[in-house]
Amino acid sequence: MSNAIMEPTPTDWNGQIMQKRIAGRYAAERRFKAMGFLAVALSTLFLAFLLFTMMGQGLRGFQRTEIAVDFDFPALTSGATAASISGPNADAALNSMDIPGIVELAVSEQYGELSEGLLTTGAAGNARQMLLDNPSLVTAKQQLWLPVDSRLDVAFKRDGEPAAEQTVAALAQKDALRTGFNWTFLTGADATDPSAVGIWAAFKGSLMTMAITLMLAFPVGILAALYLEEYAAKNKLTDIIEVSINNLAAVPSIIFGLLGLAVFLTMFGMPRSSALVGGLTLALMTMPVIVIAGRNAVKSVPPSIRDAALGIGASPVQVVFHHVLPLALPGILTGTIIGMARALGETAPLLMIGMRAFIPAAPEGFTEATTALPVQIYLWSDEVNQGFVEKTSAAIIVLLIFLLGMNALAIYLRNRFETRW
Amino acid sequence: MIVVMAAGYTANLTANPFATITTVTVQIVALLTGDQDFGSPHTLAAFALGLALFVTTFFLNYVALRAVKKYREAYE
Repeated sequence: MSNAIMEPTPTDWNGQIMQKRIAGRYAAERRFKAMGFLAVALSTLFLAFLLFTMMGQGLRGFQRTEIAVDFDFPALTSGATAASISGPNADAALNSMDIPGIVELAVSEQYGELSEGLLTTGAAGNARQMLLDNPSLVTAKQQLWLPVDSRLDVAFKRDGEPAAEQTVAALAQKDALRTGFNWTFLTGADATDPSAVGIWAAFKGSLMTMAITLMLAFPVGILAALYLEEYAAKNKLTDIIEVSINNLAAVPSIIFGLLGLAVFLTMFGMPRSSALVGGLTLALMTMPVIVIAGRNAVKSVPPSIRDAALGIGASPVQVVFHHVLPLALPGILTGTIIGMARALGETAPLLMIGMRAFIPAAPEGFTEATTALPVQIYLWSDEVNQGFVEKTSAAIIVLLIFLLGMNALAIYLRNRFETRW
Repeated sequence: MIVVMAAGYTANLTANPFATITTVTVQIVALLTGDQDFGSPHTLAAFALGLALFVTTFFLNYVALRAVKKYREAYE
């Protein structure tokens, strides 16, 4: 037996070779750490850049430029009183007053040659609403602040066309312009004039579409997940089903739009661009996501809980509904909310089923023509008018806040109800 | 879908990443957002493009699932 094997020479850790190797290992560790940090920093930078651009552009979208208009109401309305335009007949009385004509008259009297195209298309409606809210305005001379046309709006906020800049300069000299909060943007619907557009119709359309999606995808998804995990035999058929579900979850969303077009619109003749068809199409897209999340959640419930429940005499249905489902629910809910958030931001399938029409009013029912938030953003981003740039960003901010809320809810639910074994 | 906003509409077979190109999704959107009959060649072409997209993703998914199955078994 040789001595070399029995008594190996101890490693000389302080020697030059070993010191070099140790230094190399530490350097590799530092390099890896730096690379990871760089990746995180880069993605944070992109996110910050996105938010910064959105905020910079979009916050202006929540503001509007207003102009002071003097109304000599007693003369203009030929003796309307506060009593005649309030109460149950207020709407009819205001309609008979020809408010657009009154506004036009007042503006042309005050601003003369500048008055051409001064106000936005919705200005008369704003004036009407002011009178409805406060009928006593009509009894005296009043100064009302009305939103200006989008060309002037753009010129006042930043650089616009030269002609609009000149008008704005002339008006600013008279101290007639101010910046106000754009309530119309939160309460209105789509319009041709960017300073009269609003997001409410699209928001409501999105909510209605999501409601249909949730009602359909959630129960079907949960039941499918439970059946596949708890009851289905493991054979060729369930393998095919598994591949299909995974495939459906990964298919480009536009395919679901084609499906919706072919099946719901053409075969079943459902109403075009309605929240019903949009919801059904998005439900098809969300269901596989819920099934996959649900299966993982059901799988992670330990078998010992099932065995214990069966051992004390629970039936298989009781085991599933009393024990497995409650324990798996946080995971399922998280998956559902993330799936819904994805559906909320989806444009392509909705474009396919005709939800890109110009809809100037909020939908009243599920079968009416509707628009949705992301589609509205897509449509506005295509507009030529400069005023739409900031409206697009503002709509994106609304959508981002909505999504952030949903994801926060998902995280809260997960932390609140998650059980660990 | 995001490419509908970014990519162009002209078909262009090139390897140059800076050249204007189009994608299948863009073409489907472009074909289907007009006012045609359901049986028109435009609509049918869009469905053919959709089928091509579906088959491609199905194949990729199948490969992915096979890979996952193969390597997962090695650890169990």
